[in-house]
Amino acid sequence: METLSKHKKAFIIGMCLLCAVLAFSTIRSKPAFLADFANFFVMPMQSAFSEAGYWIDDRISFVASLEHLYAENRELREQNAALLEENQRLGFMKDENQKLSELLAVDQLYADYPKVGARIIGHGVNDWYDMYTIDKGTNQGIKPSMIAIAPGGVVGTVVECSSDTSTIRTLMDENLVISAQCSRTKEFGYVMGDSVLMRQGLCRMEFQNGQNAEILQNDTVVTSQFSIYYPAGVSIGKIVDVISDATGKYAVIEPAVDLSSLETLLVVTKEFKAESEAPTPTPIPSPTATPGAGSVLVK
Amino acid sequence: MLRVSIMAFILTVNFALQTTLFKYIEILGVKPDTALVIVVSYGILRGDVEGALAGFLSGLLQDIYFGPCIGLYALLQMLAGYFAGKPFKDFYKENYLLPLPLCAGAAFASQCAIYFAGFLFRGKLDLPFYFRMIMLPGSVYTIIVTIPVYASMYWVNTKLESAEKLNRKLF
Repeated sequence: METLSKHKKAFIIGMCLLCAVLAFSTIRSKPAFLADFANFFVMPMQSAFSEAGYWIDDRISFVASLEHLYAENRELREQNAALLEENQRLGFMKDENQKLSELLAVDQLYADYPKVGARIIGHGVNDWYDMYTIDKGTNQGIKPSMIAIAPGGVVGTVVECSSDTSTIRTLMDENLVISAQCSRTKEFGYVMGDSVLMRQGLCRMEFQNGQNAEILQNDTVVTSQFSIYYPAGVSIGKIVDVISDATGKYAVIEPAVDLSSLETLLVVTKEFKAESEAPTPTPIPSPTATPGAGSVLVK
Repeated sequence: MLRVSIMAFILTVNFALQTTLFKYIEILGVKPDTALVIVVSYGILRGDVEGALAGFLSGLLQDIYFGPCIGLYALLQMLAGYFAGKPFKDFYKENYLLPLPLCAGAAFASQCAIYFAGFLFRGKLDLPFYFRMIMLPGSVYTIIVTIPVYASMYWVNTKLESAEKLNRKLF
C-alpha cells in the first residue's frame, strides 16, 4: 500500500489503462467465469433479499386489496361465466381448425416450445436501462438471444448467461429492438425501447412504411414472421398512441405483460436462428391458390 | 486483510440490496446510487489510492452483471473514489457535510458519463429532458442517502482503525 501511495500518478494511469484494455477485450462478449465467481457470493444474498421483497410486497398488497375483494369477486364471477361460454365456443373452433389444417397440410404455427421457468432475482442498478437477472443459466439450457415470455406476451431477450444466472433485456430497454407487425393491417416495423417512455412503462414502434403506415389506437402488435430470434405471432402489446412529428410517425406501445410487478418468467429454450436458416419443409399455401375461395388463380 | 475483506463484504451486500430491494424505494423512476456513496465515503476516509481500489471493485461487480463490457463502471467509480480522496488531508473527517458536495459531484458526473457513453452517440440529443427526468432526480436522491451512509462508513472505519492499531508492531 505504501509503494502505491508513493507513485500515485503511475498507479491511477495504470488502472485507467487496465480498464480500457479490459473494456476493449470484452466488448463483444464478457467471460462467463467472472459471473460464475461473483455468483458464488452475490446470488445467495440476491435470492434471499428478492424473496423477502416479494413476500413483503405480497403481504402489503393482500391487506390493501381486502376491501376491494368483494366487488372484485363479483366482477370475476361474471367474467368467468363469460369466459366459460367463450371457451366452449373456442373448443369447437379448435376442433374445426385442426380438421381444416389437416386438410390443408399446414404445420401448427403455435407449437409448444420447450420452456424453462425462472425467477427474477435482481434488477439493473442504474436508471438508464431496464434489465433483470434471473436464477437460471447455461446449466438449465439457456443461451444468449433466447426469448423470455410471461403469460400475456414477450418480456425480452437473454443477453448474457453464466452457469446459474442470466441477464434479460426487457422490451423497454433502449438497446433492444424486436421486429414486429400490427396484427390487424400486417403493417411491419420494429418495437424498441425508449428511456423517455420507459418511465411510464411504455415502449415505441416504428414502421417500415413510415408516414403511410396504417395504424390505429388499440391495434395489437405481435412478433413478425421475419424475426430471426422470436417465434411469430407472440403478443407484444397494444398501441395506445400514434404520434407524428418531424422525424416521422411512430406508435406508443403498452406491453401486454405488466413488467413492473413481474416475479417469474419463462425462457423459451429453443433457438430460432438456426431454424430460419434451414429450408422450410412445407410452404404455407397462399390464399389466392386455395380453390373454392372465389379467387382467380394467378399464373 | 481484515479491511479488504470487510470492504468486499460491504460492497457485495450493497450490490445485492441495490439490485433487489431498492426497486421498492424507487421515486420518480430513480434509485439512489449507494455504491457510489460508499466509494466516495471510503475515499474521503482513507485517501485517493484506497478510494480508487474500492471504486474499481464496486464498479467491476456492476460490470459483471449489467455493464456493456467489463471496465466501464469500474473506471467511473474508480475515478470517483480517487478524486474524493484527493482532499484527504485538508478536511476533518468528522464533518458529515463534506461528503455532500463530493457525492453530488460524483453522482452527476457518473450520470453524465453514462449519457455520453450510451446515449449521445446514438443520436439521443434531448439532453434537457434526460437532465430533468434522470440525472437531476438521480443525483438528488443520492445526496439524500449520503449522510446516513457516510455516518455508517465512518463508524466502520473507526472500528477498523482501532482493530489495526492493536495489531500494529511499534518496533
